[in-house]
Amino acid sequence: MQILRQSEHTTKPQDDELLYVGKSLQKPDVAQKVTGQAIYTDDIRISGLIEGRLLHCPHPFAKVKAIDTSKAKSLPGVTAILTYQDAPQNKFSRSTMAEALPSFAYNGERQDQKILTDICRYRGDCVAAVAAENIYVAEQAIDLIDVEYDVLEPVFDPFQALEPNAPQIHSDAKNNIAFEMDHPFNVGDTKQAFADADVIVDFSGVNSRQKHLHMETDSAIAQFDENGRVTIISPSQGPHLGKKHLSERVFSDLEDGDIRWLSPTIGGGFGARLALGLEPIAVLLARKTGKPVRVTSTREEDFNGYASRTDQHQTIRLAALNDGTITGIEQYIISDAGAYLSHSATTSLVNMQKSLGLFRCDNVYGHVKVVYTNTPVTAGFRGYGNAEGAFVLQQAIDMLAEKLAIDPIEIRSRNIRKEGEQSFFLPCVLEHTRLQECMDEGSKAFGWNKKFKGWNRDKSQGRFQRGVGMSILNHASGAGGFLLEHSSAVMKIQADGSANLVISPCEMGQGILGAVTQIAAELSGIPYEKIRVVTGDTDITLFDIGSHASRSIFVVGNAVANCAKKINDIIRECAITHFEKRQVKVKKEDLIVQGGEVFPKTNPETTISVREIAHDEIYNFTEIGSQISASGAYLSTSHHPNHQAGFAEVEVDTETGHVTVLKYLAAHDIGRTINPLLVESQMQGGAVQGLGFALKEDYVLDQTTGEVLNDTLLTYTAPTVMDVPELKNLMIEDPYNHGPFGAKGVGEAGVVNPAAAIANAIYDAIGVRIHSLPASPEKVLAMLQSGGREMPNGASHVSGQRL
Amino acid sequence: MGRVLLPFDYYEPQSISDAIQLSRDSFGTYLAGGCTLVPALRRRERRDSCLISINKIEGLNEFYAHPKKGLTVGARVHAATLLPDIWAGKRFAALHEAIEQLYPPHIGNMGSIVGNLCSAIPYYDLPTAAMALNAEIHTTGLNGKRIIPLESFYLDTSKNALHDHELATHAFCPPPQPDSGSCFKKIYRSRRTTYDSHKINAAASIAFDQDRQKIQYARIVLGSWYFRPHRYQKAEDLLKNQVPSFDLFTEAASIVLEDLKPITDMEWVEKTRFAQAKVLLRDTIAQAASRAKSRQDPFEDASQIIQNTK
Amino acid sequence: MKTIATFHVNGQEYDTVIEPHMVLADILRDNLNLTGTKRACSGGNCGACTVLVNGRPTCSCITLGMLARDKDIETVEGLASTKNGLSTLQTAFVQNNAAQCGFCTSGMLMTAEALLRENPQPTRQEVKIAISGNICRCTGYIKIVDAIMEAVSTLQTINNHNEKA
Ligand SMILES: Cc1cc2nc3c(=O)[nH]c(=O)nc-3n(C[C@H](O)[C@H](O)[C@H](O)COP(=O)(O)OP(=O)(O)OC[C@H]3O[C@@H](n4cnc5c(N)ncnc54)[C@H](O)[C@@H]3O)c2cc1C
Ligand code: FES
Ligand code: FES
Repeated sequence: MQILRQSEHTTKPQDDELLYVGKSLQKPDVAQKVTGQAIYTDDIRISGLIEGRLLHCPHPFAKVKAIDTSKAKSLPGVTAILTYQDAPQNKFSRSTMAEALPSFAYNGERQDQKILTDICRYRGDCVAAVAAENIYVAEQAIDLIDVEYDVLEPVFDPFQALEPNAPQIHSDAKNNIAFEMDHPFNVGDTKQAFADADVIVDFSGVNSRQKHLHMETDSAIAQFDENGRVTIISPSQGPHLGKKHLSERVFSDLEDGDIRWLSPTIGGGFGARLALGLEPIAVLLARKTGKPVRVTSTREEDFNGYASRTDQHQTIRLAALNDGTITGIEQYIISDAGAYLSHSATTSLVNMQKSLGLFRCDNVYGHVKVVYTNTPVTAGFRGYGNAEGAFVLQQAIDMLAEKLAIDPIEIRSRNIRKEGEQSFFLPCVLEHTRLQECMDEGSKAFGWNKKFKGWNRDKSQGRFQRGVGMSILNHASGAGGFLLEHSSAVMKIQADGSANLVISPCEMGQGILGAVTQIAAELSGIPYEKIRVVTGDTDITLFDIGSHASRSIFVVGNAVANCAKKINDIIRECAITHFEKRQVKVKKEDLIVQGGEVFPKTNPETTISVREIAHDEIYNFTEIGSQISASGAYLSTSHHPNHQAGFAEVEVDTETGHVTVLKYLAAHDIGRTINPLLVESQMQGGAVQGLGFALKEDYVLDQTTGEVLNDTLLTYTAPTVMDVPELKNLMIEDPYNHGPFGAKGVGEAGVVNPAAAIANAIYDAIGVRIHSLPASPEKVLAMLQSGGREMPNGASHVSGQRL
Repeated sequence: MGRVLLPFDYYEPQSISDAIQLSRDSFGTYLAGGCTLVPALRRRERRDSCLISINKIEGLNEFYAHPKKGLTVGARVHAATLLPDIWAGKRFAALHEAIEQLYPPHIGNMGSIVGNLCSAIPYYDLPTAAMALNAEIHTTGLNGKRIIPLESFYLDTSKNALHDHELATHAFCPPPQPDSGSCFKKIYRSRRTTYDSHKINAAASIAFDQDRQKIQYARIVLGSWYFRPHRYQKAEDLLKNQVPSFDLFTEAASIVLEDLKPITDMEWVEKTRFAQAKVLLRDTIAQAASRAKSRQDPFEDASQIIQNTK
Repeated sequence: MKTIATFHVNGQEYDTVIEPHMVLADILRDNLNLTGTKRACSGGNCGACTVLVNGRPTCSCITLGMLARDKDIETVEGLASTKNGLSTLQTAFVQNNAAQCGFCTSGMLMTAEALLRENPQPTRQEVKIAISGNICRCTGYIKIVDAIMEAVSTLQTINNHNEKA
């Protein structure tokens, strides 16, 4: 990875003055992970723990007629069997976002499902649950439950679901419409803009249902104590919102404080853990049995159940003038939520917000419709709508460039929003962007000018054809002003001068524990190795909406920065008397805390250790003792967008349709890199996920049974090491005033551009446009065979994927 | 769809006759490495109530590859055992290559070759490769020993020609002709409608006449298309007595396509699948022929292919 | 059908009561409390549960416990020693941040360990082929391959040093 500094804008101290920030330090949790010592939910051993399993409906749409649990009940070792009759009838959404959203977006979070149900709307719906002394008995018991179903006619395609005579999946959702709205930030008059335009481009496409594929499958433990308080242990990306949601929507007899939620080490999230998983049923079983219960799931259940990206069928229309100025953008989205709404409406809205907001344009119109089908539930996934949208919009922009014979980079340069203009989050001004620099530096490093041969180049003959393409994006660093974007951190100093830092976001592998510790070390003066981060226990951590939306480094980082500054302040304050005892007269302002030592700026040889100060504060027998501690908070009121440009070079085998990515480069507008190693890890992981999204990953649904046919890690074909191209990352650094040390978010962006850039590169190579993801061999070949003119018709048996 | 397996009875006989006896008494299923059986049991696709492990039986461990004597693989021999063997790589390249490309590679350390062949799963690779090498299955059953050519071994998906209680003791491939070569290739992500690994595979073996000018013998096999791999005699005949050329191989591939029936209901998927099968067959035949001609060491190009297919 | 079975794991002998339908991964995790071995697919598809059986990478999720008795089993817990701390390979994983969520890490390490024993000087391509069956959703694999290559060169330096001495 290369870091490029835009020094003319730099407002913060250069790195050489910083001890920790900007350095590739080891994150604190990594050593445990290489020894197998890290404890995930399934690794927890609790005495008396019993095992829970669920019975899923084998039909895509059915009503339970009768259920017989008697055989299962008589199996020795079975502790409890619950059916839909034993579960609360409250409806809730897996998505916990309802608790963090403003009212206008709130409808997008319909509360539409039950823990156990007699009306099964997809194969992931559960009709019964078993708890038994061990997993083997639990599975045998599940096997012995007899259920008689009234099988109903299902609908798997969102367009068929919208037809007047389609089966009605939810009685309160007419025509299966779960959600519909004009985008709240629509402006101007697109009709006029299109009437006045020199050129118009129309493009439509649909993304696939990419699975999150967190390697750790879902699992949850629940245990009640004698006071009726419940402890939940599960891999949650947002336990605070989770307990609010659980108490508010599911268990009306529990209050927020009645739930203690622990998140141990998490085996990947990518957005799927931003929701309730098996926790509600674990709580129900724990309550029923009075014992600690663990509920587990299988990879197959993950595939047939929850969750994946929402397939968004999008149409983009662009109006532009001859000089390439975009004067109107229209975007229509029809999304397939699956059987329940979850995050589908919000991801569709966010898609729109990101794509409509990337370019400066006075006439914007967006419309979203989200439809229920009898397919697995879809949800938020890294990028949260942005990757889904970029794939369509960024191809449309290229089509516009081609029509006007303008270079793809040039047309984007002419239209992107500049600093001081309205940002994509319309009520705010765009305070900081280095997107242009990302394009410029990225194209230089990629060799764009040599590789892109213009729109009318002669296509060479031969089996293997090469092409290049690019794409740009803007993404949030937290959804301030929209979601509840605040976070708080606490720090306390131990008697040995080491510190505990308490933060709320959970570590799913993204590296947040390391990055915030670096910030804390830099600003408090306590050495990095001496700061131990604590997270993952809602009884200890402060409220926070969880790890998502690339928010943690920005929002949590700022909270930690505020907290560490206070600690630094208190240490210096306390140091004065210690210096006085040694006959050194100092003023607080002149003191510096560094590497666990306090010294006057003017006299760095005279040091007092933080250890001594902290010790004396705690073990103070004469005066009123108190441990050095502080809390810091931060409230974000804007999106603080980060940006990225992505460049891809591909080779297409025109005989088989296989596309190989040879090279991929991303240039990211990051503000400042807190830890280059962690940032690069995120970027690489994101790019490879994006590559899977572009070329490999989809979801094949049996059109009669509704079963996901490729429900294993083998048949789903996630990217393996063999798929990884030459990857390069550029960090365009230019500290952003509001970020901690100038940092902006980076976690999600990497996954957004690859599909769009690769699709554009495929066009450059073979002259056909990709309308549906993934650009798998048979689709590419089908398009090639028809010269790109004729799109094969009919759904491809891949959920919702019309070519 | 379970997280763990349901209980079953389990036996570990020490001899072939004990195994057959146990199988008769308990109607058990033979268990080798379990790579096919265990996942299927967990997914509740199978519900065998008794497994008879063959892993303690002496004499099923024979492994032998020789250019003049052929290839013998006992029922307990794991696939990866073949990999370091120089003759297996040189003279039985198609099978060697199929094993080298087993994905994930760990499977080669756990699954047996005979178990793979006995599974009769339509999208497995080893049957295709072994058929190109004229493999046969040697068995012992209630009525003594039999030899079943692989070509008549498959009756249906998950159904092979073994009688009840009959145990496959080893697989055998006859020695190849002197100036011959074989090859195996697969294309991942070639979609069809039913559940499979989305691939097609092909294998070929080609032998030249003494002057190494004309093709004297050819076996062409396409797998993962129907429930079992098939040979395509018309295409084989076309190649005989011909001087090899790219056009000839293309024509042979086209002839195979003429015999293929569509298996999906979608025209465009069918079209692309046919196109991919054609490329696959052409390239497989071409490589087998080039090996026959040059006797190039297959170790090198096999790893090249892994790189290309992943 | 309960049986007392003996397992040799990381050089230690364990006797434990198992049933024939138990797979090695669950026996290691539940009976022997060696939870470093993970289950991510239970189908032999992803390599997360990789342990070494007689030195060869094996998916413990589809290996029946009965078939692993009396064989040499190595798990991630056996890589580090109290005497020497992290192994060279583990150290390289730490230094390259080759573990993000860490769920694939034990399997990656065991697969790489087997490769390095068999082929102490693999090329980058050979490393890739060896771990091609281990799925990682977080890292994009590059740091993992980097880490293994780094371990290769560290081990090489140590070897050269030892030879001289
Ligand atoms: C994740 C995964 C990936 C795979 N990838 C590939 C791949 O890429 N290509 C490929 O070709 N294959 C692949 N396979 C299949 C694998 O190679 C076979 O499952 C394995 O070789 C079967 O051998 P086994 O010893 O494990 O058989 P088992 O599972 O023990 O037995 C398989 C079947 O054969 C029967 N059987 C076994 N031995 C005998 C005998 N001696 N006599 C009579 N019947 C017998 C059993 O009763 C059973 O029905 C894959 C398997 C898995 C799990
Ligand atoms: S858990 Fe064993 S291979 Fe995936
Ligand atoms: S580090 Fe998360 S799966 Fe590899």
